[in-house]
Amino acid sequence: MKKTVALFTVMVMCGMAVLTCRAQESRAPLMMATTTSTDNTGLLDYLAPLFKKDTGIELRWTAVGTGKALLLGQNCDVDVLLVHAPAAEKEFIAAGYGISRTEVMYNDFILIGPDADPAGVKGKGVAEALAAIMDRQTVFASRGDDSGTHKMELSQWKRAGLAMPEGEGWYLEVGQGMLTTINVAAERGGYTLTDRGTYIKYSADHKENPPLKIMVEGDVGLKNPYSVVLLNPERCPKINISGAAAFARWLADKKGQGYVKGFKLMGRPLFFPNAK
Amino acid sequence: MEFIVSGFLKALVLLTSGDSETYSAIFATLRVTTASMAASLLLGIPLGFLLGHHDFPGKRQVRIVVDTLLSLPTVFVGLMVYAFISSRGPFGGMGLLFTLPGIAIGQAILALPIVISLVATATQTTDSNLRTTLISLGAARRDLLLTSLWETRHGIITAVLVAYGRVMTEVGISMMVGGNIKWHTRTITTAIALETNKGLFAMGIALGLVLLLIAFSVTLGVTFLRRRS
Amino acid sequence: MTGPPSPGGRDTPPTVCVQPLRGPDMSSVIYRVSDLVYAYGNGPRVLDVPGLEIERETITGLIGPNGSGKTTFLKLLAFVQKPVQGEVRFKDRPAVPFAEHARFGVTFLPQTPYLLKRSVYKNIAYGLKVRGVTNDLDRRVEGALALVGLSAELFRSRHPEALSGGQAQRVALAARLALEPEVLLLDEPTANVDAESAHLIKEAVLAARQERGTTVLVASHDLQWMYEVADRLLQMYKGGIWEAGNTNVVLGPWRPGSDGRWEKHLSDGGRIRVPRPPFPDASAVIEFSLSRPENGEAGANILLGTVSRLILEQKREAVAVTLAAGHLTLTVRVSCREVESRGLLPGRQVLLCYDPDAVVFM
Repeated sequence: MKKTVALFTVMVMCGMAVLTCRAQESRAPLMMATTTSTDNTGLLDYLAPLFKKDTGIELRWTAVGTGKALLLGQNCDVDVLLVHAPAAEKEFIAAGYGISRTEVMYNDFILIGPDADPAGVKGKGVAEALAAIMDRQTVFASRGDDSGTHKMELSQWKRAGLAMPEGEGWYLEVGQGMLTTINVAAERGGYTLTDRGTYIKYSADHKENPPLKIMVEGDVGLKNPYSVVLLNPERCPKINISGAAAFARWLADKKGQGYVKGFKLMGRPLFFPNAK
Repeated sequence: MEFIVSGFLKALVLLTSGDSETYSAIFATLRVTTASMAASLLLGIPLGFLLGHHDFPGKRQVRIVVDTLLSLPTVFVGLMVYAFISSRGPFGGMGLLFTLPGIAIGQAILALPIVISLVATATQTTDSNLRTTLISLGAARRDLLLTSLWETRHGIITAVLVAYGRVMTEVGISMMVGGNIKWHTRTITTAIALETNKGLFAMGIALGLVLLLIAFSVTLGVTFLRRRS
Repeated sequence: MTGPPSPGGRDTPPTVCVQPLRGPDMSSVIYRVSDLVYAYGNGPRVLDVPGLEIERETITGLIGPNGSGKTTFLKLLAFVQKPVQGEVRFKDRPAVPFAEHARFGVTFLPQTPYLLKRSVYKNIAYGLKVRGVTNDLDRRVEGALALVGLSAELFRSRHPEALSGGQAQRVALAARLALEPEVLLLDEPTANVDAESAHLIKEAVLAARQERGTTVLVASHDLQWMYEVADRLLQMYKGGIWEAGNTNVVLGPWRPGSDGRWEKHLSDGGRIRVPRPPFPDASAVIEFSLSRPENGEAGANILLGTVSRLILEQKREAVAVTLAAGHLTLTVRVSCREVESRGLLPGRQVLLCYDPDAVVFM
């Protein structure tokens, strides 16, 4: 009996070993952690083949919340990060997990809401709009997931001098991705703060007539800057640091910046290159 | 509501047009579920048989533990596996994170209690006279084991079907351990999660139907096996 | 000195000269049991046999009420279970489950046999395949089916669900007969089967001994059959085994009597006297006989009984006489001559006597 179990276990382990064998790559692939909103724009699907053509490196990415992306970087589970949470990025580097951040592009956040505009925020500034929403207690859907967008939203409440509406019945902390959060807001006839990229896609999916329309935009505080964060090779000796550096270089260079500018969705530009 | 109907139509289009993303997800699902099922069956059937057949001190406690593990949340398993195969974890050097084999390991952990528990039950409910009969016909220990296993084959097949269903439809482990990387670790279930997250419900339905189709074919095959025995 | 066996048949012990010569492993004893004990966990003993021998090529009947330990005893002899204490020697070597020298020689038919989930043919072939016998499988299977009166063409492909209780029992027996075992142990083989199946099973069992010299042990409630076919009858009660003769078990409770003895009152006013029991509910093992008492004290040790049944035990040329004494049923054995001389007929009243000091308690 024990012999049979031993035999079975050996068979299983052999099976696992066979599965774990992987073919050798020409140049080691680059594993990136990024955010769901970035992934949802389709920018990476557009950039990856270009990157491969120019450098021969295959870009692979997993799209998670900003918090998790930073954690994956901290744990050395990925080679490079592409996120949009400057304060958190700076902390990350200060803590020694990353060695540099290269700003490569930005898009902006917008406040969207239903046509009916129950809180009367259209055309106002962000701080005013949020105050009105809080005052009228109209539904507001928050990412609630510690992502870059979520952090941006929290900083807006702060900037407006308002206490974070934790626990209020009209403040819905969805805890999921941007599109889900938008859908929740739409369902409940409320407002939400989203990046323009996700909104363009959302609008396109609804054939340019989505339930939620742009209410507030252009406010200077709503800029959403993206950076490539390089991990600390001393902490993460096994990562593909050369590939990561190549990516940062490539995206910040004239050529990469040109690609970013050229990325359009529904004929509209999504991202604005701003590498120095 | 309309997304359900358009979902059905989309499913047909995806399958017949040979949409490469969809087929990549299908193959990923098949590869990973086959591996995890093979591992969990190879380990679980003998263990379940031992648990059902033999009496040993602490047998009841072991059974309680196994039955409790039937309710393992997938995200929990995913987190635990991540902790072990992450770069900072004990098995970090094996490069299993964000790979299909990594997902397979997590799914095998999910399926193992199911297989053990169901096989143990099937073994125990088989007539206790079986042992007496086999020994009285001159069976040696090895014959006893193999013949008893064969006699409980219907219970084993049930265990296979239940475990397979659980493993094929889980998202938590695939997402956590696989990372939903397009072309590499995007399975049908993580693709469904992604599409519904994006608000593309019709696509979610379509992929769900594809999954059901696979499940149906597998069930058909297993039922055919059942008939023949 | 050799010579013909002395007249008087079974009543006189055989002389040494008459015993046939046998080789070293061909002793006439096939089972030797010593200090055999079985109990479940820390519970009471369900079997306690200090010593017993079974001879080759004999048919031994095992009779006794349910729960007396018959099944346990057979399972130990079949090496399906290990005793808690003591040993069972098979062909003069100690044996336990899976022992090589006993594995193929002994086969056991449980009261409710389990048929494997496969065709009748495969069920019967199973034991043969385990022994590595692969030649002539068809012939052997057909032969086994024929022994139990089942047609091979009709039954070989049937599955257990398609068999009646009696047919299933016969198939199970056929599976064992096909193995041509040296020992066949049967636990209530004709209980719960139809009359025809019972008849065929009994025939097959007898044929096994007659034609192949199989040693048979059968536990059965079919007393008629037991008396008819058994060379030797063993009686079992609460884990103990006796030769069936005149011993009867009388259950408690016992009450203190007048003269320092304890007694039990019967419904017809009679009394049984015994020494002090270890506890009031103990069961007493008492030997009764029909002989007339010699000494005068016997008055206290007599019981009146009414003959209710007479059964001929062919093998032993004796008659089992069942009597009703009050609410008790007692059995004694007498020779055919005695039946005639005493004029024993059902309804006849006779005197039973016993020695109270020889009473043993369980």
